[in-house]
Amino acid sequence: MSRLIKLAYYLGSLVFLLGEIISSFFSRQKKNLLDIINQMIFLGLDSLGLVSVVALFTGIIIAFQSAYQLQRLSSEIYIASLVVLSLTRELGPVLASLIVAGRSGAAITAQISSMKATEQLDALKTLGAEPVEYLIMPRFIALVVTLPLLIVYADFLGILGGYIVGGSKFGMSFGLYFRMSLEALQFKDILAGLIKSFVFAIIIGLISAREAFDASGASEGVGIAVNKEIVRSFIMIIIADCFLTTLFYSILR
Amino acid sequence: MIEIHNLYKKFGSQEVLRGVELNIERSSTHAIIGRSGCGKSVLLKHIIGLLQPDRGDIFIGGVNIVGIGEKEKKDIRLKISMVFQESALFDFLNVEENVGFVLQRYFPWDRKEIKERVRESLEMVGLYHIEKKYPKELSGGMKKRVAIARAIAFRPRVILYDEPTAGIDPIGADVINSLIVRLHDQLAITSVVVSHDLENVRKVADTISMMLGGRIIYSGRKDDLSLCHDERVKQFVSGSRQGPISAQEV
Repeated sequence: MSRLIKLAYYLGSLVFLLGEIISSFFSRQKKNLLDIINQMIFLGLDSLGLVSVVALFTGIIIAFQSAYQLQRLSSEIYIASLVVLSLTRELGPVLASLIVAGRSGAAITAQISSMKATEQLDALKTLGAEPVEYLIMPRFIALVVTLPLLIVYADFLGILGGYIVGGSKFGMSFGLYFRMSLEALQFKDILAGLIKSFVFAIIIGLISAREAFDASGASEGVGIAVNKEIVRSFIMIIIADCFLTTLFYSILR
Repeated sequence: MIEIHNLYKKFGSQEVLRGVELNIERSSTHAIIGRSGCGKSVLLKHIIGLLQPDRGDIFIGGVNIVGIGEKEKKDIRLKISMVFQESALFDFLNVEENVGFVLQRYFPWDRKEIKERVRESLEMVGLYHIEKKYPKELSGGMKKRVAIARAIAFRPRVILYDEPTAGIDPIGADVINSLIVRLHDQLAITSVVVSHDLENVRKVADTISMMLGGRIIYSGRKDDLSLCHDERVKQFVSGSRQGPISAQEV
């Protein structure tokens, strides 16, 4: 029971934090656009390499797995359709979000929790700046903008990975592979992926900030906070993905 | 200038402040001494509004800051500034951006005016041409001086110093002490210095209060401290292990 209460308290604190971020976004304090752009570069652009590798190889793996099944039905031509649907609806958003949670979310938690340990958050408050408005809001905006873009990019790379298998193993032409992909893909699939990415960005932004604010102690506290951020973000992303997939299955069939 | 009445604060089951009564005169340099962990820094954080007491009142310039709204709290904070124990310079901003932080956010000044005030504040603490350096490029003493420059940049009425000489060599500590005295004289600021280092405190303060077990047990002129008959104060002043304050007590 006490665990349930703790969970409810934790989720409530995330909702409260979201409210604070939204109200700081609409506050009259002028926004530091340069900071938001810098955060977009750090949280999004700098993740491109890792996302590229994971997405490309995931595309290759899905294509091989699909081929293994489809060969029995002599339907290898549908590899493209399977790859594109698996990636846009499911694997693209989830994998890219897990990478961003592990890389960028952890970096946010590490930076802000070490600022807490060295009294920089207190110093911000004494100088009239709220940490949520000054530190979290720019990172949150950067995540919400860059994660969907990263996921679209991951989808393309995954499709390319699928083509490497389709082209080299089954002799499919580039034109045929992409026509098959586009034929299978519908607007609702892209929409489902984008909605998921948006929700996952919110989850990463909120959990990375919450864990940083809750950190205690010095270097040990930073390590614990980063660990909690990664574990909790991963769990929340997977649970949210399950809910959203069920929801989309019902309304976007 | 600052009046504290019956202040209580608990963290979990640990009662850190147990009815603090304190009066700090305008334009004085008031030191709060006591053993590590006796609640001195917690008291400072209450004065600047970082912590809310469980009970009690804090009057600054006649205004009770306990329970006031965020907007009013921000207004109060622009009249008070704090120099943190570990300087707390923002490591992602350079010296100029650190010192000009409040000016840039809350003062209707142009870039040139801010730059000029930053330069002037740095000169007041004896630092020249370091505007573009980042905190990681500075020594401990320099960081502390930049933190003081940041604290005086917007010319507050009160400066709170949390262990200003902690972690600095004796010569560096003396530089900080003379800086506290000079800024007090130059800007007519009310200074509150929290420290467990009696030797350094004597160099800067005109009034000294001693805290023990979450209460103020002595308050008086600096020169009267050694005349105090309270055995606990005597033990702290003499720095003896023997006496009513046990070695374990914090």
